[in-house]
Amino acid sequence: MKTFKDGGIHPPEMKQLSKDSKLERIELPKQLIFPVSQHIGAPAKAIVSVGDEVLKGQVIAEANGFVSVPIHASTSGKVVTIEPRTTVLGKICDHIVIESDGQDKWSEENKRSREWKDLGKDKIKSFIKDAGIVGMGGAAFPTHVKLSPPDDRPIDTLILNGIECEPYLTCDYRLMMEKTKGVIEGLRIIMKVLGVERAIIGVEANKQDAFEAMRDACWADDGISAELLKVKYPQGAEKQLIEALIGREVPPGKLPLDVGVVVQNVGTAYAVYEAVTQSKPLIERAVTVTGDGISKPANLIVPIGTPISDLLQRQGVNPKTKKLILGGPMMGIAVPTPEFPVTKGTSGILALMKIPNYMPGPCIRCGKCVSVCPLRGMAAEMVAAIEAGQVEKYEHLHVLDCVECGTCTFACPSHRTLVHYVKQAKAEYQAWKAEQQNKK
Amino acid sequence: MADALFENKLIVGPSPHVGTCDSVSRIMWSVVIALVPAFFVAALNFGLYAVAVALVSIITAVIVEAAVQKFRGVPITVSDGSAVVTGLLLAFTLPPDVPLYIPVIGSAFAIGIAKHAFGGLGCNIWNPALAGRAFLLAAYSSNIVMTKWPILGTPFTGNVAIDAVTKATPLAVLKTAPLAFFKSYSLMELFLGRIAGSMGEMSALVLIIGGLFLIFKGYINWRLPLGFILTVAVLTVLLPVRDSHGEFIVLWRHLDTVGFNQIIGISLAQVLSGGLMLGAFFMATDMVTSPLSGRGQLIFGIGCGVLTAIIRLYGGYPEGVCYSILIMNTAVWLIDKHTVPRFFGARK
Amino acid sequence: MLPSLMILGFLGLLFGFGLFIASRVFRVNVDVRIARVEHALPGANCGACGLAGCGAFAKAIVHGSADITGCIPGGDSVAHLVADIMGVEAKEVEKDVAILRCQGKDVQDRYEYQGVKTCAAAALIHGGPKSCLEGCIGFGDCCKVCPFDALHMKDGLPVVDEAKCKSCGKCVEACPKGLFDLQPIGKLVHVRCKNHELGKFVRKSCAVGCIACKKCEKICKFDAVHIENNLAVFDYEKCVSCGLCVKECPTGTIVNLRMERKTIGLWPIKKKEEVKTEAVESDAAQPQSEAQS
Repeated sequence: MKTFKDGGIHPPEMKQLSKDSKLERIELPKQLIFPVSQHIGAPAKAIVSVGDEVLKGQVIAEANGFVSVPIHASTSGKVVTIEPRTTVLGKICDHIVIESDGQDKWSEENKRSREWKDLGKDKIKSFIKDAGIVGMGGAAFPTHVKLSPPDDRPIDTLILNGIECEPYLTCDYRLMMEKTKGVIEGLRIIMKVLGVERAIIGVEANKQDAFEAMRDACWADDGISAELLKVKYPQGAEKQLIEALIGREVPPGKLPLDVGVVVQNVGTAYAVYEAVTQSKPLIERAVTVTGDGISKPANLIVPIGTPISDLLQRQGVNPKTKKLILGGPMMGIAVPTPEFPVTKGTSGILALMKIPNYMPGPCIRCGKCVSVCPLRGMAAEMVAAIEAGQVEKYEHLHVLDCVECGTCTFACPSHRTLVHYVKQAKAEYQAWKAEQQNKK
Repeated sequence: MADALFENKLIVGPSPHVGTCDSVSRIMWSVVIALVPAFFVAALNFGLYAVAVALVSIITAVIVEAAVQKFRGVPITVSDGSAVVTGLLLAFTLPPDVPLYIPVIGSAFAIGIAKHAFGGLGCNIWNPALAGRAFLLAAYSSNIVMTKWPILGTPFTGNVAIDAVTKATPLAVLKTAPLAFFKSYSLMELFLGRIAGSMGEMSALVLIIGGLFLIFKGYINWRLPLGFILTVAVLTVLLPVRDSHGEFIVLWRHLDTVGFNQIIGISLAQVLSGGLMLGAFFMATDMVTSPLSGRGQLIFGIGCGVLTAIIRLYGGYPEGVCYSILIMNTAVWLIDKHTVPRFFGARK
Repeated sequence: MLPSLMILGFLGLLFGFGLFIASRVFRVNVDVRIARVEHALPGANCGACGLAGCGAFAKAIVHGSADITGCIPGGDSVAHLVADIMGVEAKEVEKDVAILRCQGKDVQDRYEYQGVKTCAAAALIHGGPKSCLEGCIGFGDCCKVCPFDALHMKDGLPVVDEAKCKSCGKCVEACPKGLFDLQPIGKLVHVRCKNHELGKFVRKSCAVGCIACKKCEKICKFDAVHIENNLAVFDYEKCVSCGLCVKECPTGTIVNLRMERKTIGLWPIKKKEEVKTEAVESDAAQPQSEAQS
């Protein structure tokens, strides 16, 4: 069985909590919150105003530039507020709040179904863009941008990321199990857009049944193959997955398309399928609600904009919960309140009660961080430089190429929060670089 | 509304939100556990006095650590076991019948100067226990306390048998007349530890067991001890040694006269005697004072091996493990600088 | 004996000659004023002049690319020393001090923070644990960077020791919330808040924050204070430090530093001659101020 070569860890998987709960559509929330910035790139621009009636699937904020996507209302209702608030990532942007009218009425233009095989590449791409589709693995990078590689970068392989290496999360697994056809169809659509002959579906060995489902669904097709990979975190990271599957290393600062590869998440493929064949914009997504603080862990299909508190109450949250995380435990973001909404990039909601109270100690140079780093970085030396404020060393030490996967911090016996240092250093470096340029 | 969901304020911190169950204290106490068998062998061979030496050394180390940390105004972390390890390792490098003030001075130097003067755990350049031993060796070499090795006593009591005969230590024999080594010693003696020497160097067997335990737990990298030991084993065959006339010969060139078995025997004797096992598994692998990357650790181990072999065969001291590790400790930054792994996707 | 002496003597002569030749051939003409100016500078290498250390600044002065009053920590006295060396006249410079724009000692935490204990790191996690997002986080990054030991944490807030502050601006750079700015010591009245939220939100998180009630704006006779974006902001060009707004401010956000500065001998500002004669007094006052901080 293949896997990536260097480093990696085996955090406790904890997937059994929600693994067997089938995808379930939740009842309509009363209020929905739409930050105009849910994706990487320029925030969308609100085109509705307070008091407007909106229909399900209607564009409420339009894309603002190429690296940007529109945002759609996920149910019908009335716009009650538009005000700047802070997003989960600490960005301040407009939030459109919609009060649901309970009708859940679709807008007219979203009722068409299409046969995608007759459509041209650019047509499909524009459907994907207009549907507001972004990478659903967590990073939320606009999909149409990923599907528009420059002409001098020929793409020969499409990789479908069904790894879901984050502990706890099972929504991708459920998608592969229950929406197998849709996912494969989405994959075919993306293959057509990119014009590639070869697609590989990567699934980790702890999801044997999902692998079998995918393999059986595509075995007759030309060019699509499924591959079972050894369980190791962070295999779902693009660079690691490409290395594991086809042995190519993406150089630092470069993108997968520089080595002729595009990676798409299974959730994205399913969204593409729905958008292109049923003209359904990205207004809902699969979310895993789990953790020891949740009495009924589940995989839910949730309208974008649903407040997390609704989901927590629905699945029974323990009031003694200590930590609330959006995303997985390795790369997810801990939030101070449950008022944040589910956005396009939210793959899971974790309520944890057992939080170890680590006291970070001094670095004992054990080298564990170095040996587990999937990018072969010298984490111990990076942090030593960061603590000493030696900004000029960051580039050489590849601090800026760190993907913040968290393996080093997980493995550190001194419980040092290395990723946090790196995050700080990246911000510091930007300021330093700007200053350097000013001097010149 | 939101506040009603939870009783307490939520904890918010940077990702990742899960971590290893390993900790510094767990690593340190595992090292202590790995050293316990060797401690028993020492007690068995040298009696209660050896136990007293070890205890004095450990207690001094812990007290000095607590005192220095209090004085420096940093949190007192003696419970993490790092001072215990240093004290125990220092005691293991001492002759078992030293006066009790020797471990006190050695431990105080090891913790107070070699560790905390450099900034405490994680900042020291040299292995504190070895620095302590080097200090004692320099300070007390004239009045033989540090270089006199007692004759083995009966187990547990430490009483010296009346008919015991003083003989040269294995390393002294290996240096001056390696070809006559098997007239006075057998490999099994070395392996099981019924020979004169420092407290912790007695039995290669128990040290290897302890070392394998640490490798199995993932606390030390196998490359380092393997590189160290193999290098010593190979070099003692490849480098010229003294023959029975006191002249230097290269063993493998005299295969016909010396015999294959004897060459392997001498090589094994070099590996099994002295502080090599203790040094290779417990001292050189000290995390703070060894390189970060696996490749660096291998180079570090080989460097220690080369220096040890040279000091053993040609140096003024019978044993070279202590100094070779200290010298290589000094070179760690250099090794680290030149063994940076190629970053993912970066060109060579 | 003799031959060895001769050899050594010869070698000594040879090397000496070599050094003589080398010093002639590779001579670099150094302006002696550079060394003298550098000697006159404080030597803290703080970088407040915008150059890499005191040596670089000295060079820049002598080469004419830097102003002689450019050394901010050195202030007036250093400017005069440098002016003497360079043979020019120095203008009077008034000393600046760092002013902290926050006094929220009792601001509650929104969440329990777990992570690196520095302001810069905490600011990356939802803007820091404090419920006031624009106030002091309280891990003391500013105190760590201060090269003059003029900042100390007290009750969770940094306190500027104005006697020691040389207005180098390190704290201004270090604070992720931008809570410091440098103001002349003659300016006594300051707003100690940077929160731009509406008053009702400010009240929730902080009892001493600016609620934008506009009372200061109304009372001011010099048109020197205005509410901009829900926050009282001073126009220091117009402010005469009369202190009317201080009495009017309902939350105590606007403060008058006259008394504090008087006790440490910074107010009223002394003429240069007075400074010299009263040096003993201000020395006596200093330990007191340290005890406060």
